[in-house]
This record gives sequence, C-alpha cells and structure tokens, in this order.
Amino acid sequence: MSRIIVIALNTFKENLRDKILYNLVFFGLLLIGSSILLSTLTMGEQAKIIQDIGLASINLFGVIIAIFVGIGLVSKEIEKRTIYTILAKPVQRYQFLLGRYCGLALILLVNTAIMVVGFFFILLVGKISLGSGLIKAISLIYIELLVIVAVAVMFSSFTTPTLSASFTLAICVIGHLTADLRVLGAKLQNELTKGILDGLYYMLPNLEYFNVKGPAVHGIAIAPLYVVSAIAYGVLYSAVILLISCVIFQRRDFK
Amino acid sequence: MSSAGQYAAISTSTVILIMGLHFLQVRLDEQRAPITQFQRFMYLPQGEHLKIAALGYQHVVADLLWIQVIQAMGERQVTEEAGHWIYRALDIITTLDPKFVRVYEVGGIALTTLVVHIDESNRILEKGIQHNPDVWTLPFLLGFNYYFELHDDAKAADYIAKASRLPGAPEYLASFATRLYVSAREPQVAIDFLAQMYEQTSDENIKRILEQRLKEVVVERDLQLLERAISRYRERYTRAPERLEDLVTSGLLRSLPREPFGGRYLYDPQTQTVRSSEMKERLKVYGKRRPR
Repeated sequence: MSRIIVIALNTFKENLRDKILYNLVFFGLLLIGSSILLSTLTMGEQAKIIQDIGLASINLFGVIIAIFVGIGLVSKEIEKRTIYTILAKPVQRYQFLLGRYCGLALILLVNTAIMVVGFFFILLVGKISLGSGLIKAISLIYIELLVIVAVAVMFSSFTTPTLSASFTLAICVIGHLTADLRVLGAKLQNELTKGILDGLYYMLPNLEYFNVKGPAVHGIAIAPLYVVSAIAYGVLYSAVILLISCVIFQRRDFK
Repeated sequence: MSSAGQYAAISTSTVILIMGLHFLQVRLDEQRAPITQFQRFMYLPQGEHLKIAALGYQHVVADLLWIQVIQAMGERQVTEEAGHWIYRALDIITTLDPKFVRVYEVGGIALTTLVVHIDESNRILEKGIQHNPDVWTLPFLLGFNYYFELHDDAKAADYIAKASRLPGAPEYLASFATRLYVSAREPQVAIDFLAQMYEQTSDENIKRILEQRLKEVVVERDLQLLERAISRYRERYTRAPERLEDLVTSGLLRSLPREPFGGRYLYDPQTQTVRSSEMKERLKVYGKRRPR
C-alpha cells in the first residue's frame, strides 16, 4: 500500500512540475470573462448561464486533463525507459499502475477543488445562491473523471499515447450516447443485433449517469440515493477497468 | 547575413505578414457585412440531433443559442423571416433544455409583440406547459393569447383557470377566469371552477371573496338564462313579455331563478333588459383586444 502511495505522490509532483494546473488560469479567465460579458448580453437569466458555464467548464477541463494526462501515465514511462528503474525496485507492476492512477486522481481532485472554489466565488460575487444540487453535480463530475482516467490508463497500458488518446476520446463520446444505443436496440427486430447492442450498452461506461448539471442548475431535487448509486457505479466501473489494466500490464513484455 | 540582419529581416516580414492578415480580415468582414447576425445561424440543426451532439453539454449550447435569440429580438425591426427563425431557435433551445422557463415566457410574448406569429407563440407556450406543469405564467400567457389575439374567451378562461390553480399564481387570476367564462357564455363552468377553488382554500378572506364572486356569477348565469327565455318568448309571440312571470306561465321557464344576494331580478319591458336589484353592473371583461 505504501508503495502505491509513494508512486501516487510522485505522479502528483511530476504533474505539478509539468504545469498542469496552468489550465486553471484559463478556467478563471473563461468564467470571469463570460460572466461579465453575458450579464450585458442576456436578460434575467445570468444566474443560470453562469452556473451552466461554470459546471460545463469544470467538467470539460477535467475531462481534457483526464484524457491527455491519463494516456501518458504508463506509456510515457515505457517510452522514456524509466519504467525499468522503477520495476527493478521491489515494486509490483500492479502497484505501479495503481499508484499512477491514484496520483492523477489526486491531481484531478486538487484541480477540481480549485475550480470549484473559483466557481463558488463567482456565484458569491454575483449573489447567486448555492444549491446542494451543485455539490452533487460536481461530485458526479469528479466520478466521471475517475472513470475516464481508468479507461485512459487501461489503453495506455498496452498501446501508444496517440492510439490511447483516440480510444479514450471515443469512449468518452460513446459514453454519453450509450442510452441511444439501447433505444436503437429496442427498435431492432433482429435478436442477435439486439443482444450485441445490449451487451455493448452494459460493457461501455454510461457517462450520462454522472451528468446532473441541468437539474442542479434548475434547482430540481436530485435524489441522494441516485447520487450514491451513480458514485458506486463509477467507482465499481473504474475498479473493474483498473483490474483489467493490471492483468494486461502484468503480462506485458517490455523490450 | 549577420545575426542582426537576420533578426531585422524576420521582424520586418512578420510585421508585413501581420498587416496583410489584418487587411484580409477587414476585407472578408466587409464582404460578409450584409449577412445579418441571425442569418449566420439560419440553418439550425434539429434540436434532437443537437442534443445528442452536445455530449452532455446541451445546457451551455442552449444558453449560447438563447443569447443569439436575444440579439435577434433586439434588432430595431424584426422581420417576418426573423420571427420564424426566432421560433425555430426557441424550439431548439427548449428541446436542449426543457426546463428553461424564461425562454418560453419571453419567446411566447416576443412572438406576439415583435412579430405577430400567434400559432408559433401558442406552440412554444404549450411545449412549456408540457415540460413545466407547475409554472403558472405559461398557461397565463397562453390564456392571454387566446383572449387578446384569438378572441376565444372559452379557451382563454380554461388556461387562466389552470394558471390560477398553480403555486405562486396571483389571486386575481381566478377572478379574471370567471369573467372570461361569463363572457364566453359559460357561467356554469365559472360556477364549478369557483366552487372547486372555494373547497381548496382554507383562508377565510379568500373564501369570502370567492363566495361574493360565486354569487355574482350565479346572477350572471340567471340573467343569461332569462335573456334567452325572453328572446324565445319574442320569437313565439312576436312581442316582448310584460313581466318576468310571463316566461313561467308560457312554459318557457319552470320557475323564476332566485337572486342569490336576497334581492330580485328586475325587468324593464321597454328595453327588454333584466338586471339584479343588488348588482350595479354586469360581470364582464374589461380590456382591449388586438383587432382581428
């Protein structure tokens, strides 16, 4: 366990050195800029628009970091051949993988937390009330990021960064559309295709579960049970993906 | 070339290129100038497709389109064509974000004021009611359209009555609805509606007001009944009745209605009008309508 933590902290520091948190500057500028600009352009609904943009930016920036840092987590070490020095030490491969994952999860947590502080500050300045829905929405956004990082790590454990970026991006897009996959399946007559589509629906992550931005902004109650179930789904899904990555990584031959 | 020379050459060419770029941009803007703002988005995709393509960010897309719509509404002259575009954009925004109540409200009003597209205004308000059944302003605005634009008091009354039952609705809506029912010659519906409101209210003051209004509507119902009987009497005997009792003796009415305030119904054979001894004037809708 302590080895995982060491690697996680190392990953965290490494990403800090890579100036990953600079994205926060853009986030801040976008949020402040849009809130000033929009208050002059729209009428009456500034609060909704600022909240929409705030949540969407927290989500989007997080996803971008999750994908583009996530894909390099393992493959970069292999490319730079630094992995030899690590694995030569008494570190199991799965420990290395999990450590890298936890490190990025930590970075994302800090990043999201800072964005949330900025977001809440803007809301406070704009005298917009903070609903509990916003906290729920942000928690679920973070869980979505955890799932995406897990997927990125999995691809990163067996292909090149470019390919894993494409694959992870594709999973992100499909993840928001799986509900349609199911609707499509229900309309089909062919049992086999229907079965395949259903199978895909259950295999791919349903990222729409983590999207409660709309209800949160409109002040529509989000059932706590739903939030808990969605978090559990995200955590379990990430765990499964990470286990698969560990299996792949364990058997991988570095040359 | 010396390094200073290289530096100068690179800087000069950079400046020249930037100037060229700026020149081109100004030219391109001039060529695009006749294209007004809303036309840029003339070819709006289907709301359902856009919702899928937005990948979970549909609310931000809705906001951006909403800002465009506000700019289009702000044009000094909103053309017919722009009006249709506004409706289409509103439809897309509300497909992306069905709970965006302000869009239905502003859109519903704009489509009957900036341009007169009553059908489209009604459609957007109906969509709003379907997705936000608890918001009283939407049936209110729809009822207003039926009253002001379409002169359909019965439908107007239905929607205003619906609005008056929703949370946050001002109390005068119930009263407005009853006037509309009376004006639509459906006093019995007004009576049923008021009776229902009376049942649901626990506030004694409101109960008193409703009771008063209920009696007024009963008077109106009775007066309409008597008027119909008088005109049938005239058709049958080619002369007006001398007294209200003639309506009963001729078999047109089983009995004369009782005045609910404890007064009497007075009949003027000269003008052939009836009125209540207790009410100064008849219940009606005050207000203007757009001429048809």
